[in-house]
Order: sequence, then structure tokens, then C-alpha cells
Amino acid sequence: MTGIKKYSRIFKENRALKYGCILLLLVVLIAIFAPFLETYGPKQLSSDTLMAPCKEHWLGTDDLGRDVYSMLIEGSRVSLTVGIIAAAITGVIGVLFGAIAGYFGGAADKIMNEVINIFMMLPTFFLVLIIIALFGSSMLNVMIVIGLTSWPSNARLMRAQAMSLRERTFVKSAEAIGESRTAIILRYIIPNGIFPVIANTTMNIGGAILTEASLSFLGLGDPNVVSWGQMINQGRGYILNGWWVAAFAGLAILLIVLIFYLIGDGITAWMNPKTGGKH
Amino acid sequence: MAYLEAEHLSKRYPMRGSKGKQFVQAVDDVSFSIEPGEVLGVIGESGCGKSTLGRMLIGLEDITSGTVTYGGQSLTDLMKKDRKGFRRTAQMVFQNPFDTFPPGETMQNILLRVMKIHRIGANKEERLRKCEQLLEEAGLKPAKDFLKRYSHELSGGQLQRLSIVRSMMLSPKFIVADEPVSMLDVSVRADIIHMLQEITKKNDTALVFISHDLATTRFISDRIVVMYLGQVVESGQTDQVLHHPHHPYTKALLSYCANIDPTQKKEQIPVPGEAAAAEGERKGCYFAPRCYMAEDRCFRERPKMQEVEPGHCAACNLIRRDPLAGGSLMSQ
Amino acid sequence: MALLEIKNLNVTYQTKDRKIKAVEDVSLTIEQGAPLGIVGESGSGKSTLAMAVLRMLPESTLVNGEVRLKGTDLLSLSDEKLRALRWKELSVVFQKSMNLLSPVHRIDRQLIDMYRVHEPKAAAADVRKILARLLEMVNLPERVLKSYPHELSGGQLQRVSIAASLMHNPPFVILDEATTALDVITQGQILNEINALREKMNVTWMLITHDISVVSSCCSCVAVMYAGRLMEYGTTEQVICHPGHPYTQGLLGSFPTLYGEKESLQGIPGNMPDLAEKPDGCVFASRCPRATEACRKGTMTMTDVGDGHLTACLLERR
Repeated sequence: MTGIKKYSRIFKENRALKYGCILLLLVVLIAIFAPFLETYGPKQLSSDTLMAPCKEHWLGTDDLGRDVYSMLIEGSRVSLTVGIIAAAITGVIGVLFGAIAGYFGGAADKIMNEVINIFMMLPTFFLVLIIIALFGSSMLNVMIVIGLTSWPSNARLMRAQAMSLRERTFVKSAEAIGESRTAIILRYIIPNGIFPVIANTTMNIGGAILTEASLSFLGLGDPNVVSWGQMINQGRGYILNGWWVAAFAGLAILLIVLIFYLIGDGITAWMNPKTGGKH
Repeated sequence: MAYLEAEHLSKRYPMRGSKGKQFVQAVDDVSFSIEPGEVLGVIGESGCGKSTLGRMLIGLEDITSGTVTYGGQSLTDLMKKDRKGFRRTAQMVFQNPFDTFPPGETMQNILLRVMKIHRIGANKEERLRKCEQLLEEAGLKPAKDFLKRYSHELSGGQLQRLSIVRSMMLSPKFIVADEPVSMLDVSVRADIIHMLQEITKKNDTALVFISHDLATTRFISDRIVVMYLGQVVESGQTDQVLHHPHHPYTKALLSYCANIDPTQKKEQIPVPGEAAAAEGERKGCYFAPRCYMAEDRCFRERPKMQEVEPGHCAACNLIRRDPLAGGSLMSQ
Repeated sequence: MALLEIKNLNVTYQTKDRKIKAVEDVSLTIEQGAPLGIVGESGSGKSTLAMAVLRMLPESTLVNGEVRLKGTDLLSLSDEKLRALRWKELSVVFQKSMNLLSPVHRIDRQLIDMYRVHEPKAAAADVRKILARLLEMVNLPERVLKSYPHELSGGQLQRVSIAASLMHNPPFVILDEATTALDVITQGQILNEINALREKMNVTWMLITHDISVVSSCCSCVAVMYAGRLMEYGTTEQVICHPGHPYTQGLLGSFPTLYGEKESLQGIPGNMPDLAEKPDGCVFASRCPRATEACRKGTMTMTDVGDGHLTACLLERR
């Protein structure tokens, strides 16, 4: 079976993955071509404040007269960037930390596992709040802080994988053949155990987007960029006479989180041999 | 002079949940030696510590106490000095050929990787040529075809051959084969046995062949050690041990050994109970609770290895007084 | 009437793009009191055959032919009737039947529940008596009933499974690699118990194994399978002492023995053909030392070489 055929079949059988990927592709295209899709500049003010959706402003305007539709399009860039980069950070840290702890075992694992537990117990969101309050709220800070606080779930998954892979013959035989420990972790443990982490990381993207939105909602987002969380924050005051400001941004967040959950779910189902998976 | 010497090897695992106070004694004071080119069979049932012993010999498992020396140099020194170099000296063939190679890698990548780690061959072409040559020699023809395959596309016999080929690439002086044929079909076992035999003779490689199957071990081993609950209970030349056993456990094991001739019925020696896991401090002979001739002293005194014939030793207190002594088992 | 009669049984597994002929045109009979051993390597179809008899194959599998137990065709039976028949008329012991026991309940409770599937009104005390008697037959003390599965060894659990398979006194039991994962001594002991049970309980086994020595110690007839085909059938002595098929000869030649010449150990070169693309003619022809052109073309049928000793070798057909 050729690669293309194999993958087309996976998509055919796995609806969550299929629709998730199609929708994601759509959002990515929107983010890439944002400047061409926007009907007004996303930060362009006008005297038409709090206009209901109409011909000129498809989704209405906010209290400063900015076009909600254009802000929404622009916001997709922020959401995707924050989500993907933050989740990538959690992925890298989680995988390395978990693989090392799981493969070496013993005292190293005990200490590292406690570190994972401590991070899991920390009220992440408040930690993020404190750090942002201390170091300022640039986009970069937001991404790094989210990444640095939400890796433990990935580390746990990878650790469990590494612990079971460690006992597999091919890892033992790699040891016997003279592979160094670093090579065993990088070439044998991680590639063979990373799948659940990928699924989890995809779902983490949704989580990161939500966290960013929450920060912006609390007014702790990057004030220089347009983001969905910020829009909700602004629309909050006009929810009765200008519901469209907050509502469409809320829907957008809902949709994007849903997309990443669909994909994450799809990957999980694909990996699981019981539900018609990869093997 | 012996190439490899194991002296008083022991391995203890802390028991789960005992906070390091209680131990499982997997290997208990095992000593033996192997000459270059010699094949030593290690026989025992599951849980007797034979696999742990094998892994300890090539440094895949830490040694609790005792020493292993290769040509006079201790294993710990060798590992400390040059880990990679030591891997070229001592290799292992594993039980499960289906899991020996990483999934999602072609045989070519797997084999080239080994040469790259150990800097065999100057460039990729030369390495590839060597791979092909080794595969053809091992009867895996056409080699080009095998090199392209993934492990799930090959049969158990082919995979075990590849596993042996991969170990032999490093021209080791010592190999541990841990149940290398137990997961293979009967009709391909013989070929793997022959292959191992051939390479040990050709390269003067010493081999430890670990197995639960007496008959298979007989075909490859020069000498045999029989293990029970972590200890060696009998050792000697293969046919001396198997045809004139002295330890009651060896005798019992032999009496249950598979026989395909339906017209011959062997008298089976009763062995009540189960092999108790080797926990904590134990007194006396470990086999005493299941032994057909155990006396009071067997439960108190730890039997010592005694030589019954030149080169043939057994650890039994009552070795001279066995009612089944001599060749009474030998109906043939 | 034969106890079990299998006629022209075919089993084909269907995957998306392949049809795997796991069992092809197999006919066998098992007489009351004459246990049959089915020997074969991995991929020979021996376990599929057992699953077809038990009707435990996945829905998508194509099964045709006849399987008659005491005259009743199992393949066309309704699910309800089949359920009533299972365990009363035929039961099974698997290689890892220890997994059939739940780890959180005591053995007696689980076995009593199993017993009540067919006898819902049975009193616990009576069932316990029956179970104790069965356990005694497999050399287990009665206190085993009060233990949890994790407290028992593999051999003990396998004995419990054998006892459980006999609780309704079925005339026919399938042992699918039931002693395979066990130690030499335990396996020998269980085989002895199986032999003894045959007389005490008047039960007939179909014993599926890759190990010829197991068959030789406790079966009166042997069927040898290869690549889904029946290769040879006869009494244990006929097949093992005077093998008629080159495959059986090869198999016996690759079985190491404790005595005899060390040079005699010979494997069978080559590999089993792909079950989805079987060659024409004899399935063993590609590995057979005696294969002729005719072997690669002919159709496989069983030939009687004397006294009910059947072989599928085309060279025996005159």
C-alpha cells in the first residue's frame, strides 16, 4: 500500500480527524491571508461605534468603531501563534523530561516525578498571572509562560511510555549493541513513544488558546495585538446593547478549541488498535 | 586459560513495597568459567535466574556481588574504561526476535547504524556492501531484498538470523543467547542452532546458551549448568549431566523432558509443590521441599558443589546415597 | 456415531484488501474416547480450526462446511441453542485461560457464578462440593477455592481452568495450547492429570499444540496441519513412528531429542507460503525435498496409505 492511499484511508475512517484537519486548514488559510480578507484595518477607528451587523460592517463594530469581522480575522493569527508555539514548548519540555525520567528510572525518576507532581499541583493560571504581572504582557511572554507551566501532562504520558519501552527487547538490544544512552532516548524511546504525546499536545493547543484568551479577557494580554480574549473583554460592558462584539469572538474561541480537540481525539483513535487504528 | 570467569555472582532485587528491607534473590552465588570457542548451556525453569545471570555477564544488569572477568580484566573496569569497546567484545541474542528491532526502521538502517556507531567501514557504500555480504553468508538471499524490509515483514526465523548477523558484525569474543529459539517454530529452530554453532566454531567465540529445553541445549552445548532458584545445582559435560545426572532436580527435570516416541514411556519422578520464589534468607538445600529423597539435614545444611566425576559437579548432600543413582533412568 | 465430525471446513479471514484462507478443506472425525491432537506451526490454522468449532470467530469471517457434535451441526445452530450447548456439551481451555478469572474475586465465587450459567438454581454448597472434587482430580487442594487468582501460580491457574471446563461434565473439550507457557515439570504433571481425567470423567479431548511430544504423550490420534491444510492424519503411532508426509518427517526431524545422534537435527528450509496467495498444487511443495513438477500442479486430497492412515502427499497417490 502506498503512503498516500494509506493516509487517505485513515482520513476516510476517522471522521474526527478528517473534519478537524479540514477546519484547521481553513483557519490556517484565514490567518495567512488575513490582510486580504479584512474589509477594514483591524485597528482602524471610525465614528460608527457599536453598529449592529449590517452591509458595511458584516459583524458590526465595537465601542471604538472598529470592524468586528476584521478584528476576528486578525485575532486568528494571535490565537494560532500563541496556541501552537506554547503547545510546542510543552511538547518539547514534556517529552524530554518524561523520556529521561522514564528511561533512567531509579532515583532520577523519583526526583523528576516529584517535580512533575509539584507542577501539576500548582495553580497554573495564577502562576501565569503572577509572571505576566511581573514581567509584562508581551505576546512572547504569554507564550513562554503558558508553555512553561502546562508541560507536566505531556511529561507524565512520555514517562509512562518510556517506562514500558525500556523493557522492550529492541531497547535492550540497542543497549547491547553499544548505543549511548542519549542515542537510546532520542532514537528509540522518543520516536516510539511520542504518539500519545502528540495527541495530547494537540489538545494542549486548545488549552493554550483558552489561557491566552483568559489572560486577554482579564486585560493581561498583549495590548498591542488584537485578540479574541481582548474582544470579549471589551464587549463585556456592552453585552446588552452590543452583543456582537463579545459573541462572535466567543464563538471563534469555541470553534478553534473544538478543532484541536477533534484532531487530538482523532489521533488518539488512530493510535488505538482496538478502535481500528494504525496497526 | 578460561576466557570468561564468573565468581560468586549474586543478584538481589528489593521487593516491592518492602522499602528495601526484603529482597528477592534472583541469582545466588553462581561461579563458572568458559573457554574461547566453548558453548555453555544454562538450563532452568522460569524464575531460576538464568536470564538475569545472562544479562549480568554482559553488563546489561548491575551485579549485586561477585565478579565477572574477561581474559583477566574485570567487567566493571572494562565498562568504565570503554563501554562501546566492551560492547564489541560481548554481545547478546534475545529471546523475542519480533521485538529485537525497532519498528518503523528498515533492516538496512538498523544494520548500517551498528557499523556507524562502531566505525566499521569507511563510507556508506562500503558498509552497505559488507551488510549484503553478511546477509548472503547467513542465507538471507537476495540480501538487497531483505535490507529493504521492516521487521514486521519478516518471519521469526529470518529475524533471529538478522539478530545474530547484527551481533556478529562486531566480531565479539563472547555471546549470550537467551532462549534464542523458544519463540520460533520447530522447523526453523535447527537452522538457528546450526548457525550459532557455526559462528562460535569459526570465530572461536564463547557462547552462553540459556534455555529451559534440555533437548535443544544438548545439541549445541559442550558443557551444561543446571540452575534451580538462583543456584547452580549441577554442572559438567553435556552428555555426562544429561545421561548420568546426579542431582535429584536434574533427574526430575529429565524425567519430564519431552519425548516424541509414543511407544516409550518414561517413569516420572514426583516433584510436589511449586518452586517458591527466592525471598529473604533461606536455609538448607533449596530443592529439599520438593525432593524425593530429602532428609532432615537437607533442610538445615546448604549443600556444597562436589565433584562426582572429573569435571562433573553436583550440589546435593545425599549424592552418594541416591536410590535412583547411576543409570536407572536410562531405559535406552 | 462419531463424537465430532468436521467435513470440508473452510475458514477465510477477510480484511480490507485480502482474503486469508486460514483453514482449507479440512475433514476430521473424533471418536468418543479417542483424543485427537492437532499439531502445526504458527500460521498452520490449528487455532482457527478450534475457534471455528467453538464458533468464536469474528463476524466478518467466512466459514463453510460442516461441524457436527454428536450429530448436531454447530455452524447452523441458533445463538441461543449454541449458548445452551457450550460448556454442557463442549468446553475449552486456552493457553492463557488464567485471564478468564477476575483478579478481585475469590476463585470459588467466580466458579460458582460460572456454574450457575447453566444451572441457575444450584445451591452454593452443592456446587462447592462438585468443584472440590474436580480440583482434587487436578491435584489441587480445596483451599484453592478460597484464594484470589494472583495468589496462585501459572500451573495452578491452568489447573483451575481445566477443572472449570469440566464442571458440567462435557463429553468433548478443546485444549488450545493449554500447557504451552508452563514449565517442563508442571507441563508434564498436567499432561498426566489430563490422561487420568480422560478415564475418570469419560471426556474426549481435542488438543491443539505446536509441540509433538505433548500429543505423543496423551492423544491416540494425530492430525498434522500446515498452511491451513490437513497434511496427515492417523493414530499417534502411525503418524509419529511411520510419518507418511515429507512435512511430518521434516517436523519430526527438527525435534531435538535427549538421546541419539547430534548431527541428526535438521530443520525445514524456506518459509510458509502467504495464506492470501497460496500457490497451486501442494502447499508444502516449495519447501519439500521430494517435490516434483506434479506436486506443483495437482490438487490436494487425502490418500489412505493403510489402516486409516491418511496423507495429503501427492506422491502417495497412485
